[in-house]
Amino acid sequence: MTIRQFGLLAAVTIAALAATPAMAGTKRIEGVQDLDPDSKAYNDGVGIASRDIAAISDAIVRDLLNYPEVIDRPLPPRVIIQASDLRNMTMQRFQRDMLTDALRSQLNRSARGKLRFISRESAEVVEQERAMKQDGFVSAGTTDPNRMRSGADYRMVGKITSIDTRNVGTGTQQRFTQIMFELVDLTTGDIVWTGEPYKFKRATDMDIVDQ
Amino acid sequence: MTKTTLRTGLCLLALTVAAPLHAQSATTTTAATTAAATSTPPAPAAAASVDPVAERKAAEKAAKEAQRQQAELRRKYGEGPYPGQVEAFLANKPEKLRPLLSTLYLGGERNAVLNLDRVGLAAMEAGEWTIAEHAFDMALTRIEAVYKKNVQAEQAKSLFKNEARKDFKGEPYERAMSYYYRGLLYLRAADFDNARASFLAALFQDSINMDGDRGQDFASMNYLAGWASRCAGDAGDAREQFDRATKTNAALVAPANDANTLLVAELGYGPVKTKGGAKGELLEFKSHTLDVENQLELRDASGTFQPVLKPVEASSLVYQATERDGRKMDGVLKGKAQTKAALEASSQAMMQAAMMQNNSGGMLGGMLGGAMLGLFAGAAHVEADTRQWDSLPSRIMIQTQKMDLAKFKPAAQFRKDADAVNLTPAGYFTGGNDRCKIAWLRARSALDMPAATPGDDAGVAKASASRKDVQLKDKAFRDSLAQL
Repeated sequence: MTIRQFGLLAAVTIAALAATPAMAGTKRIEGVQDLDPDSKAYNDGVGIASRDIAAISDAIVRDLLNYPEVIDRPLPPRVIIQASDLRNMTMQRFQRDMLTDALRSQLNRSARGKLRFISRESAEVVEQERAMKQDGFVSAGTTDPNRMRSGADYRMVGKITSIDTRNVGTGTQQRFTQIMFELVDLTTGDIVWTGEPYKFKRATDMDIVDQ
Repeated sequence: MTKTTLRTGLCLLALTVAAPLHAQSATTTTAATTAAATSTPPAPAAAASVDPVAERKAAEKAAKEAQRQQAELRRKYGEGPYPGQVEAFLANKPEKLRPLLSTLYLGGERNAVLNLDRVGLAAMEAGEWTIAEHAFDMALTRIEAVYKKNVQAEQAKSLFKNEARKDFKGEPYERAMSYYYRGLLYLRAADFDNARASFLAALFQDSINMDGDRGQDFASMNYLAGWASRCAGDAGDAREQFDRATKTNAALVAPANDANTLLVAELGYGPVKTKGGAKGELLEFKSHTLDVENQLELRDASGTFQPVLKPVEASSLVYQATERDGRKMDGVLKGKAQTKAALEASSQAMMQAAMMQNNSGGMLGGMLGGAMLGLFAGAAHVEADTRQWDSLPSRIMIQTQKMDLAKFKPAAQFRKDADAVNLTPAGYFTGGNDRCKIAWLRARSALDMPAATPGDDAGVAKASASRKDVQLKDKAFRDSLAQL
């Protein structure tokens, strides 16, 4: 083989090998690993992640508990917080109960009796129990069985919206998400409180094999 | 626990060779519990003579035996699956779905999305809602995963590895259809917000390789997002989506004010992937041979509802598959094909030049060099990945109507233009709530498909499965299937 042939062979070989990308390493989890639900996780995408649930409910609770018109009433107002009043307008499938449950739980504990919460989602089981008490099938319990069902003063309503963009050239996908909560007076329809919008913008690059 | 009980427990423990490592302790417990339940109750005198030391030693012995058996299985079968595991997975699953579920279980992470999609659709047809919902949720989690620095994704781009090495996510139209079916399941469950989110995500996936909203021409997804918005009480958003649907497909008009039912029908089998180009490097699509019927007439067999429903063609999947900008991956494969062609040409040229040499040294060297280049060319894998979701329909038909769906007994007549096509609907379901109902009908069956992963390359599957990291991923995947 001549030197020229060797040179050509070497050049072609190097070019061919250069076309083979290096194998990038990926971190694997051995067995099952406990993760902090409030921290950034391995698989978080551009949408709402577990860490947002705690952060959103924290922000709402702080905001609302500093609002005297609602908190400092002589009698604690009754509030309904349920998933069906949180509208998801984004393209992310989302279990809305996660957010409303967290919010109700945190408000209930932090408000220390300054707010009371009404469950409409449990209306059916309440009716069943009342019927059994009234029929004498079960005893009256410790509260007056003839008490009326509680009416609510406020309803917490919310909306999740997003703007999605992508750049085909770079493979970048970006999402701006905004979560808003408001408290509606169920007698007048007035919006008595609007929370600070919780918003974030996240981006990620898609590999070309994903495009 | 008596010695008899322990012996029975040990015997049962020895039969748990098919259990995976992670489940070993649970299996051991179960075996011991079963033994305790089936053995003769001990006499009071025997109970008094329990020797804690002997009991501990027996437990240690049993644990050691279990470890030994596990090591033996691992030596023989690697990370699995082990004998009996597939059967155990299928044991409580619906008979109709078992062939597809078996393929899912054995197909591993590389084919997970495709096999989950096929299982999900077949489960919808079979009325197995929980399996269908979980299957599509699992598929969508993977579709949404970002694959930066993923070993298999890197391999797919390598000159010396097939594109089919990558974990299947599907082409944009296939991904969109995963969201579409999840959206239909949400409509069935009257979860209109998540239904809308699914249809919007379908639109996003369909146009993922195009800038902005350009290419969002999957009119049925706009229409379904509009329907979900309408059902959720968002009139403005609904109007916007219906307008977009009409703009893309004039046959689609917004529902009448009193319409309470959405009819979605799927006709024919969808596009078929083939390899094109000189070296099979191009992914091409053609119509299925069973893409026949293009119209549907639906009557009420009970006679209480007089109008004949004639849904309009909202989207064609052949169109959605072909009317795209080129895949980014096509560029990579084209480059690989050019390199392979250059290597082949160089090899031939060097061989020919060697034959012309006057001295034996030059001839030998040239032949050797040519052969080496030929080897490189032969080792280059440039072919496009043709794994495909074979149970997809060809056409999505839509109509909205005011009707009492509960009393409606569907009698379907399929047509190819004016000619009748003799088919019995393969699947039909209804759902929704009092204000917003959905009826879904399929002409062709997703349960009749061959169980094997369509378009998979056995050689690629074998080469991929030989890697330790892939085996670990597949084991984790099999474990995750417990949620189905």
